[in-house]
Amino acid sequence: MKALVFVETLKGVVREASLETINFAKILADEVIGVVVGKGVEVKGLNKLYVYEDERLLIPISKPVAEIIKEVQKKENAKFIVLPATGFGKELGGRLAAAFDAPILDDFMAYENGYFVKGFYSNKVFAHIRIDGNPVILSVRPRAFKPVEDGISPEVIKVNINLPEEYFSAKPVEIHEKSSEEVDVTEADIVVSGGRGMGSPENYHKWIIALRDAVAKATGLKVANGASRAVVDAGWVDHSHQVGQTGKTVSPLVYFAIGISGAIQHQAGMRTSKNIIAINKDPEAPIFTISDYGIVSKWEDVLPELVEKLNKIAEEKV
Amino acid sequence: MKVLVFIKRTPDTAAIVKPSPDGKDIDRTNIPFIINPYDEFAVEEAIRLKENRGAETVVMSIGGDDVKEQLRRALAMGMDRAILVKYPEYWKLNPSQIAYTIVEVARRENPDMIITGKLTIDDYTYSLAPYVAEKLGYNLITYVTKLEYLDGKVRAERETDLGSEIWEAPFPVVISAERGLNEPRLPNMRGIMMAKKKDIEELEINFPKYDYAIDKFTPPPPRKGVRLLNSVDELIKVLKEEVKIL
Ligand SMILES: Cc1cc2nc3c(=O)[nH]c(=O)nc-3n(C[C@H](O)[C@H](O)[C@H](O)COP(=O)(O)OP(=O)(O)OC[C@H]3O[C@@H](n4cnc5c(N)ncnc54)[C@H](O)[C@@H]3O)c2cc1C
Ligand SMILES: Nc1ncnc2c1ncn2[C@@H]1O[C@H](COP(=O)(O)O)[C@@H](O)[C@H]1O
Repeated sequence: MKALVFVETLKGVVREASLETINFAKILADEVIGVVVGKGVEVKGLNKLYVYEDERLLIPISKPVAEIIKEVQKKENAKFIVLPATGFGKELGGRLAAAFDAPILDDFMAYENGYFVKGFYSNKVFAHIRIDGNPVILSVRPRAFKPVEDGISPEVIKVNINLPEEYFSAKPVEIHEKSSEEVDVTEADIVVSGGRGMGSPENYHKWIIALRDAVAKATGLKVANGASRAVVDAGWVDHSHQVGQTGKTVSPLVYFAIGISGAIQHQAGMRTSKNIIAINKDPEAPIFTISDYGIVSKWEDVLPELVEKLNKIAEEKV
Repeated sequence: MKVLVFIKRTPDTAAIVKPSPDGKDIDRTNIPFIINPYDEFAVEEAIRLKENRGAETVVMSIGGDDVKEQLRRALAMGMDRAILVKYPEYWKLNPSQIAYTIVEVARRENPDMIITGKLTIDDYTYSLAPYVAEKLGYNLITYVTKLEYLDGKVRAERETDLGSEIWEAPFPVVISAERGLNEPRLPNMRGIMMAKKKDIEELEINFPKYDYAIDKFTPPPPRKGVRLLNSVDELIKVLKEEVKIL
């Protein structure tokens, strides 16, 4: 059986979420075929890689990308079309479901005995779903599967398709990028989140960022800073950092919740984290009910020492 | 200009949601229901378009009589008309069926713009807006946090995974609403009274069938419970020996 995987790149680099998607596709299919938009992108672990180059797609646009995938699907007739459940992947999924009159499952997080497992109602319950069709559209939650590490170098095939200008009638005219070192919270190995208990935006930017950077240096892992809605609403950080019901859903290896009460809407976005570590001065804060480790203390008495000790560990490692 | 908004009835964000005893559904007793929060942004945006530019505004949903509560709220906020596509157990519909329903209504109504939430918070579906845009051949801008109207087109700020972008698209266009787009208003007394008098148009459609079934719902795996630590050194030890990241 064949699976077609959309390989999403960010500034020419394959996103981690795409590598995970490839690895997942190998569970479903014995032949995994990639589709990538860009120049000279290298991906392993695929049987074939269809490449399409177009200056107009440096920022991905779902209409023309869907046309490219339709073109490849005409040749391959894959049973599964698998996408990373990134912002773009989820948009593309909807288009492909329409294009192929196919059933779609967005953002699932596990595959067990033929059933897909997905968090419903803010991850308050898990749904076990059976889905079948020709094809089936799936988008894989970031961090739910391990990234593909190595494997064969695929046969590379150029996609020859002429995409008329009308496919680009909805398009970006301005890009506001964040610094390139920043990691998306959904793709981070570790998320360090701060809430209203940080007291001020200055404290958040000094101490949450200091801890984020210290953890990154000490572990060598990808670390992102997250936030509760209270501090996003107060304008301390922008919405792309918000974790929760009306923010992002994250499943990192470690989630630090600092000065966050753990409202049910916040839990919605982080309860599937592997390890949850809370620092809160209130022993009754609901965050402790879902945490694995907790320190009942003011953060002021924890973070400076923790940052210093992690920085020391990082130095010793070098 | 005509705007069509799709809304879904979803449990309140703060509701306690558990599997039903047989695991085939969630326990729907004692759950407060609301308009999906992202769809409320869509409703508000449409009403502002009516107020500022005289747009005709239509709200639609799928379900049984219970869903009229949410449609009436949207009318009370200021939408002109409401359409209910009948399907009492609407929560059993899968995303492709729901998107198909929006397409069917859009084909009758011929709107210049369709707005819906970026996500439904019940089954966590993101695919409605792009599905509808693809089927109807409308332009699409997703995750929109700011919308401006220019001559014959919209200019939108949208959130991406790592920042934001400004997009432009000519009408007809499908928009998916992200938080930040606006602050939905509360209906006022006059709005509520007017909404009571309005008819909700009911439609029947043939839903396409897909091989998609929820076999069961389970509670999330229990967490092991919190272990309180008393010092930073203890935390570092845990990070080394148990979490194994140092
Ligand atoms: C429809 C809807 C959607 C929502 N979506 C989201 C969402 O996506 N994400 C989200 O986060 N919230 C969301 N919320 C809001 C949520 O209900 C809470 O209001 C919010 O999460 C609270 O943020 P907080 O924990 O930072 O603040 P608070 O609840 O005020 O908690 C602050 C915590 O800091 C602790 N603290 C104070 N000082 C210190 C100190 N010096 N050291 C250590 N600890 C200290 C306090 O004990 C307290 O527990 C939503 C709400 C609604 C209604
Ligand atoms: N988003 C919503 N959708 C539908 N009904 C609501 C919503 N929010 C509140 N209600 C109901 O509308 C009435 C007034 O609510 P409120 O405006 O929040 O005081 C109450 O009966 C609420 O249960």
